[in-house]
Amino acid sequence: MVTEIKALSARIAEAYHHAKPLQIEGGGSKSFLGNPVQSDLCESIDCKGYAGIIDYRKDELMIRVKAGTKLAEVESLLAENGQRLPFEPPQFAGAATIGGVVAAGLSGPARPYLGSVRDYVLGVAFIDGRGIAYEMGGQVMKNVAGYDVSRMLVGSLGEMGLICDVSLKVLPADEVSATYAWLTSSVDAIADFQRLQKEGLPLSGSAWVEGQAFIRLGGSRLTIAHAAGLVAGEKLDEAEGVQFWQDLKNQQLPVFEGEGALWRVSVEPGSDALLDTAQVIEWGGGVRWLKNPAMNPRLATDPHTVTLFRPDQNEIDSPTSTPYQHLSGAVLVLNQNLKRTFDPGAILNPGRLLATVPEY
Amino acid sequence: MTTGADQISLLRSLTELCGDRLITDDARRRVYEADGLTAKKQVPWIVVLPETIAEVQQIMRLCHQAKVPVVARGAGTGLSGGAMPHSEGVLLSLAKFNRILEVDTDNLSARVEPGVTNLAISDAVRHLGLFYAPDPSSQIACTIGGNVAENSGGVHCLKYGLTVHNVKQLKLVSPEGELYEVGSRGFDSPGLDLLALLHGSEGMLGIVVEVTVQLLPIPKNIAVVLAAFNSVNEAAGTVNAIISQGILPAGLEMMDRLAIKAAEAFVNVGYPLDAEGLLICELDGTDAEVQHQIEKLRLILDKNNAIQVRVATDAAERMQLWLGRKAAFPAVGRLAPDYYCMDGTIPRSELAAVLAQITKFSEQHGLDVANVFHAGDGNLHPLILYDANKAGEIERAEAFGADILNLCIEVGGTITGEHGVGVEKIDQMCIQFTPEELELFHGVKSAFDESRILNPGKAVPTLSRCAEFGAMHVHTDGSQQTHVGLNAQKYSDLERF
Repeated sequence: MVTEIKALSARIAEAYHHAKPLQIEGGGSKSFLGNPVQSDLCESIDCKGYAGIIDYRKDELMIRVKAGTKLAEVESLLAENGQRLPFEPPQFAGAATIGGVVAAGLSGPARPYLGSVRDYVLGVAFIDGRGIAYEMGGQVMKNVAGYDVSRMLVGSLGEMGLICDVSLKVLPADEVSATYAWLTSSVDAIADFQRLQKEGLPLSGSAWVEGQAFIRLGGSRLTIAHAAGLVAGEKLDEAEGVQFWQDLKNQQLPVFEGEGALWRVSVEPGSDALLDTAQVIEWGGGVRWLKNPAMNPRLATDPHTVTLFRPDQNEIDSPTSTPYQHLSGAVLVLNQNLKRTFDPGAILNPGRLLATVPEY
Repeated sequence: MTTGADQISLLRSLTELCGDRLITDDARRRVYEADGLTAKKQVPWIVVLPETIAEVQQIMRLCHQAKVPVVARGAGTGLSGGAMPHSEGVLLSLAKFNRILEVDTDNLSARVEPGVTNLAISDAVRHLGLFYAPDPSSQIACTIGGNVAENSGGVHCLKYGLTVHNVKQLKLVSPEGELYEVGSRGFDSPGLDLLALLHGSEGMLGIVVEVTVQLLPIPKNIAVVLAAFNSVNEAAGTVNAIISQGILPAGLEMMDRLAIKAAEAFVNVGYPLDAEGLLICELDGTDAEVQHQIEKLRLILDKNNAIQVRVATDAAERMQLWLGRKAAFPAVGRLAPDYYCMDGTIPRSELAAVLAQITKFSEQHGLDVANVFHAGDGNLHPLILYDANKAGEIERAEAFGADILNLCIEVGGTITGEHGVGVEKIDQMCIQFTPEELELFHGVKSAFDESRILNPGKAVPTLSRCAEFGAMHVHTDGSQQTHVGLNAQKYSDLERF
């Protein structure tokens, strides 16, 4: 297992030299995500050994962590100090690493109210597809020197470089949170979410799951006590509420189980796209989940908004499998140009984000 | 630019396209010769003021074909020369793109043209109980397009983030004239996060022609707390204490003795003149939340030896407490004929040490400095006072400024928190980044603008420039020093903070 940047760098430089593709591995909790990489052609490069907290400055609201560090370890260190990662990344099977959190760019229930992974990334040290190491961004809150490459790496699924360490902004933890639930239609649930947000309630989560709406409030005891009066619905027992949001972000609710593909559609919260087919709605209405739908959602709505989140197990590795995301036009060209800049040999996780591997 | 014939042909095409919105006469071109960094001047070859996206596309197509540089400009309030024209290039003013196209009160967003001023957005949605959070101090004049180009901050970014955190979607024209969109009206967009990459790209990657911003509900309650201290150290230490104890203020600003005195003499709002350091802390949220935070804050301030604490909850009083801070730049400007505004960011824990070192630099260079800054973000704005008419003072101010920027890098910070690199700090980029990192930036530029016609020569230095800059630093002879941009800032009536 590689434990030094130099060694990781040398490994990539060698692979570049020999035009040998590499598959970047972390905790493996999100191995389903993205287009399938032809693993039989790739050697794997394991980042789990490059782990540990580099710097935690509680009063700076900043933590700098090596990519192989377990998300659970970071979250528990922050919790001991009354802080948190506000973007609540999913753990999935529980082995998630910070490098994977940033490379996947997935955020949890608080995202519409507190921001996404990339909103909290201050800096990233990474190695490009030639084995060259870079430090982009930094550990400070405001930094406009040079292009914002570190935020661009969020969600790049390892195609632009191997993330070595990450500096994140953290926030104080909420004193308390409270979850409320009520039975309603998806249309009315979204209208309720939007109304509550406009009223300035301290929302930290909103979801609709098969006929039931859920919201979470977070803040000081006083604030929550005061806000409670403005919310209809039944207050869930605290442990039950915590469990619900955990299960939602880790996709462990029964609705996510079973055969068939899981699709994620990202739209304007108030949009009526796919409302009647989505089983789960999150983020105030902005994300709709479709489990095993009768029709490919890309045929039913703007295909750019649709992500094939978990492919049907039977279709994986089939040469005709549907791409992870749909890119077109100038945006596709820019993505390909950037891939060529960061990974000129197309050896890093080739195609995992950008299905059509550019021909070099 | 190749030949004179090409130039004439391009001019003819642009005249056909823009008519009298094409400026070629000397007097009117001169209006555009500089942005807020007036020490760096360059009269553009011509100025165009397109009115439609189709015109912008056509201008880009023509310029791309003729390989003529294009520099985009909003209101020209930038402080780093990012909109300084190119002598052989087209200055593309987006001033006529000044309409708010759509306000969506359900999805809390507004779609606006790039020439709309920052403040105009909040003004347009205030009656709906909404606001646009980033508030650079030039907000009355600066445009949202410029804010995207610089990734502007403001006093409230500690809690609400920078421009990049508050923009959902951009419509852009490529150097080849193609119109495209990045980001989305939802929360995800496919592929790489180009929206993040474009923020702060200083007009080097594309021409922004439409911006969809996120709006927020106006907080129910706002309080401003002013606290005075006997030493800068105590004030700086209190900043860390506030944040480490779980308070996230909407804004947290600090001023030192010279800034306090200047501000008080200018606006007379009752700032304590015996204080060495002053903190201004804005808290917002629900009524209960704000009350709770005020109590918590009072305890912290007492414990950290604040010598005076004032709390303002009604709007007039709050305005009063902010007034001195907001007037600090022009107030300091009255202390000396010229001042040079710096913009470095440092880790907050280094605040006291960096301020002490700046005081030492001040003695070494024989120039006064007033410190006014976004303490919560660690974003410093030291104002170096000098007199351009006194021999050697410009050079001393520049050297002082360079020392401050180098110090910021040394303690793990950055040479620019929110004003951008432009032409002003292009040489310091050589210190902050490795040659490989600078090459990667050039690679990013090429991915968007292969022919390099957008704002050439700005923001990212060439390696040969860095080599030259390094060589110059070997000489101690003042005459060999490069001219890093100097102040003499335009729009001195604008609030700057």
